[in-house]
Amino acid sequence: MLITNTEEIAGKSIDNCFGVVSGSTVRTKHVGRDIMAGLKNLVGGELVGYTELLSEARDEAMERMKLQAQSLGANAVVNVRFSTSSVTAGASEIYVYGTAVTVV
Amino acid sequence: MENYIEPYLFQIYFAIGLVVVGYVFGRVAEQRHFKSIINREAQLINLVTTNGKKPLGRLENIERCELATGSVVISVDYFKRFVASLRQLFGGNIHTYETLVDRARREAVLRLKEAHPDATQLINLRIETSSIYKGQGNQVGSVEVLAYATAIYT
Amino acid sequence: MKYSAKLPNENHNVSGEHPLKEFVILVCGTCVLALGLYWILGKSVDVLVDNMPPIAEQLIHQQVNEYVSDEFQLQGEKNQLPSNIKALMNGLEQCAGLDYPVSLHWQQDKQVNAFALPGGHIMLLSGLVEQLNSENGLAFVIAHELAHFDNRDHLRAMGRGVVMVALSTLIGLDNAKVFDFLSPVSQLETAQFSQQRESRADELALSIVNCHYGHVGGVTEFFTLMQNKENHSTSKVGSYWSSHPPSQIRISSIEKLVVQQAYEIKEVKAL
Repeated sequence: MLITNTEEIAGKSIDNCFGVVSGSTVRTKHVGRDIMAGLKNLVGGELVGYTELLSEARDEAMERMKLQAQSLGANAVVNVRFSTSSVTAGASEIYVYGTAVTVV
Repeated sequence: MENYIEPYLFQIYFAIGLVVVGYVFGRVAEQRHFKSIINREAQLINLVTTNGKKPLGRLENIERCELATGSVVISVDYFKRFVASLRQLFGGNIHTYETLVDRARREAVLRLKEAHPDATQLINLRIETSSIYKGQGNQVGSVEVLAYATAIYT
Repeated sequence: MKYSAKLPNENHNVSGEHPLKEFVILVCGTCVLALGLYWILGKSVDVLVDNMPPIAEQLIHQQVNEYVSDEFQLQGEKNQLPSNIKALMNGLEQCAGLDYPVSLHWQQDKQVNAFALPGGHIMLLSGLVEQLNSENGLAFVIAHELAHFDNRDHLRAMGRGVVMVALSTLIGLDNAKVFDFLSPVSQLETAQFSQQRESRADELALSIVNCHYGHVGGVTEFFTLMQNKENHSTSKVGSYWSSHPPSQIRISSIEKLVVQQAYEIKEVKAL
């Protein structure tokens, strides 16, 4: 499954389009991480727990988008866009969408 | 002698009541909404929609282009909020919010399509989410989704 | 390029799990977590209190004493005791063998009760003395409160209070709703702990009374009084959350102890 954020894939041509597919997830870390992040806020620096949360959420949302594209019979998703929002404090919400296509 | 549960009794009954009411009404509303979303998506299935900048194929005689938007605000019920706040202790996916954002996004895109049922293509679709109202204690009150695209008429 | 209109046959963006299943798992998990966490922290408080040197205990007492005296206005004429109770108190205090002085106070109140305040104060409500017929019954109530001091139960309670506040600030800061739910659950642990301490205090009180009188006659008088009241009010479920065990159980465990320790039972003294 090819995923790009460009309209076309270099060296390949799109021959079938299936419309917009999307994947989303809302994830959270356990309360211990929240407490550690609160303490880390005193000294600054990277909040490793939350970085991990963000990448987990991103991977999961992409995985879901891929599953949707596969079930339509596509072999690539082009023009991928990410969108995030704060649905609730301490949780990460990621939405990813793109156009499912078949390329040859 | 004192009884430790007594000061909490009212609070507990109240919370249980709200959870039950939230679950029953929220569940009925959600299932009805999903049913309607699936029906309407099937009706509008032939409306070409992409998030690319260029129209699909070669369009002759383009009459006009216009900005199409659709938006929706959906609220969380007490049950979902309660489960989500417990889930935040343990970590993992907040399933009760996933259905919420899924509904909101599909509904926003559907409203966008329903406003332009005669368009030839909808291109450059973008979707934005935000939570406009934060309830007590930083909890989410509702999810707002705005979908926008360019409608091409031929 | 062609456009094939298609819809995915299933929704990958939501989990198929029934929300009630998740609800039940999370509620059970949270209860186990709250009880476990509170139990561990409570145990560490116990270890700390048990190993605390007497000098530290006295220091805390002095600090708390000043605060409690001001707060409850313990000095003054209305708190003067009848002389026979004063004498009883002196005798019991010698038997208890505490490292610091304990003062007995007297308050006009219809309730049948007595309680210990941190800093070495025991408060008798006049309703209790009016309802009791024997000096031995009153002696057991006072000895019970002395036993609480001997077992450092007020220190344990204070330590648990500190733990509770610390937990609530850590977890409850941005998650008020969860804490509303956790506190009644953790109170169950507090109540069970409290009931256990009450039984321990009863045990020690029995030996204090035996040391003072040379026998343990009439010690259960107070509980018999309480039992009559309980029959009208307490529910079965509520008793798990109660700070004291039900009177029926206290009477029977005291009777068991009397047999076990081979205490004598003689004539009681009138009050």
